[in-house]
Amino acid sequence: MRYQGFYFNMAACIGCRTCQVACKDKNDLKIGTIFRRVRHFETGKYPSPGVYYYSGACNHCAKPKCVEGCPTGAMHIAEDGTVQHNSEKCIGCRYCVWNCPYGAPQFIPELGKVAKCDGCKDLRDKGENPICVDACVMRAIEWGDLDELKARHKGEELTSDLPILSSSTIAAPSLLVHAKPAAKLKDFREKAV
Amino acid sequence: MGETSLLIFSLCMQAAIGTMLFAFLAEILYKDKRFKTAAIGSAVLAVIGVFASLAHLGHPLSALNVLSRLGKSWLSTEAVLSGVFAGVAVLYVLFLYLRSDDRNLSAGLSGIGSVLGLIAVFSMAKVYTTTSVSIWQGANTFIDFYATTVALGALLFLITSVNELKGVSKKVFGYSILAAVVLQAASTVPHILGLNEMGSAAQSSIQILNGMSSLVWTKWFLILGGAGIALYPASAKVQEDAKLNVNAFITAGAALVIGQVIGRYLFYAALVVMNVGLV
Repeated sequence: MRYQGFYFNMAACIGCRTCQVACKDKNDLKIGTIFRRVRHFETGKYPSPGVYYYSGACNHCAKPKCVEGCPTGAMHIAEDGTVQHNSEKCIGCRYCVWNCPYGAPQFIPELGKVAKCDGCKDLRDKGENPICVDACVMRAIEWGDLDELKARHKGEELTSDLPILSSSTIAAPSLLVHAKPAAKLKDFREKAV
Repeated sequence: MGETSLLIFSLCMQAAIGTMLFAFLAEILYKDKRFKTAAIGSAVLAVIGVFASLAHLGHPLSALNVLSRLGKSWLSTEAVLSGVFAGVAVLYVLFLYLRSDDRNLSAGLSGIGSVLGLIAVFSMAKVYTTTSVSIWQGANTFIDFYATTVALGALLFLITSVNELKGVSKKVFGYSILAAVVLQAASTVPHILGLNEMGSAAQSSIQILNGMSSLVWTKWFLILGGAGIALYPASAKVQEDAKLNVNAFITAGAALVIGQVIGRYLFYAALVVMNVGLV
């Protein structure tokens, strides 16, 4: 199966959070629910400090732990290789929330069910990009077939393993990050904004 | 109800399974006795556990959807086994009252219930160890769940079977409780030391537990103290004052139950899922 996912150019990201806001707006998410989040990190100290942003969402993993654990089959791998959620089957057990190493599934108390980033399937079905991709003013986020994304960014050092993230061996995320050197350091500190 | 319902579910179900297990063992050991009160206790706890697990769901009326992933998802397997165990526990009570003369049937039901229950405890532990929560991973969760099953089960069985066990040595129950909680305590040490070597999520869990150190110490004081108190009447000579023994068992039971409730609260309170996620 071919997998689709996000490419994130950390070197280009300025941490403006437009992707986060666009996602929240498009999915009409209420306070407390978020499908994409930009986080701000600092590393090192004077005279060699570092700073970087990480824009994270569902990584549509190849070995998704949310799918593996789901007791009803609500979480499933769709034909296009993305991880999708069938709300009709969901019983609101929240087991996927414990299983996902990236914290992607969100329990929505008003619905009594979980929801998450679907990679803007409705837009993709119309031939468009996910909303976060088109909203990014720095063009730091891209969506596509992983092999095609790798070919498009040939020559860049791409990874899905960063000290801030869980090991990619856990769920094989469909995520390609062009990381800044500072993001490879283990002494990261999150800066709340 | 969040994790409170899961606390009630897991503790009630494990206590019910343990009580059924000791009722089965006692039926084998003391062939002329029936343990109706223990059977009722096990069934009531199992039913409470099932309702608590339903209360955890956002859509409890759709709970039967879990049947679709039986054998593929540990949570599905756990839910189905727990439900079946509760059914067997209720049947066991009915047969003890309606067909009390049929010893093979009651022993058979309690035996089937015990085996199903022990597999359910295994699947319960698997539900937690296969998540992305560092502090739940490893053998400690299995040991903790089985130790709780044995310790609470043996003590609840003793308390609910005082009349049936008159004139009978209870040493095997007392030593079972003590062995279970000592193993439970001993397995915690390498588990916590191992967490120090893991990622930031595990470190966050340790920090949470450090902030609740008084609760952690209270838990072990009550659990080990409760097991110690239970050992005294359990190992006393069979003709000694029965009322004194009952009071000691109830005191031990209260200490052990409160200790295990605190322990399970800490189990959920230390929940930190991932290193850096969306929440």
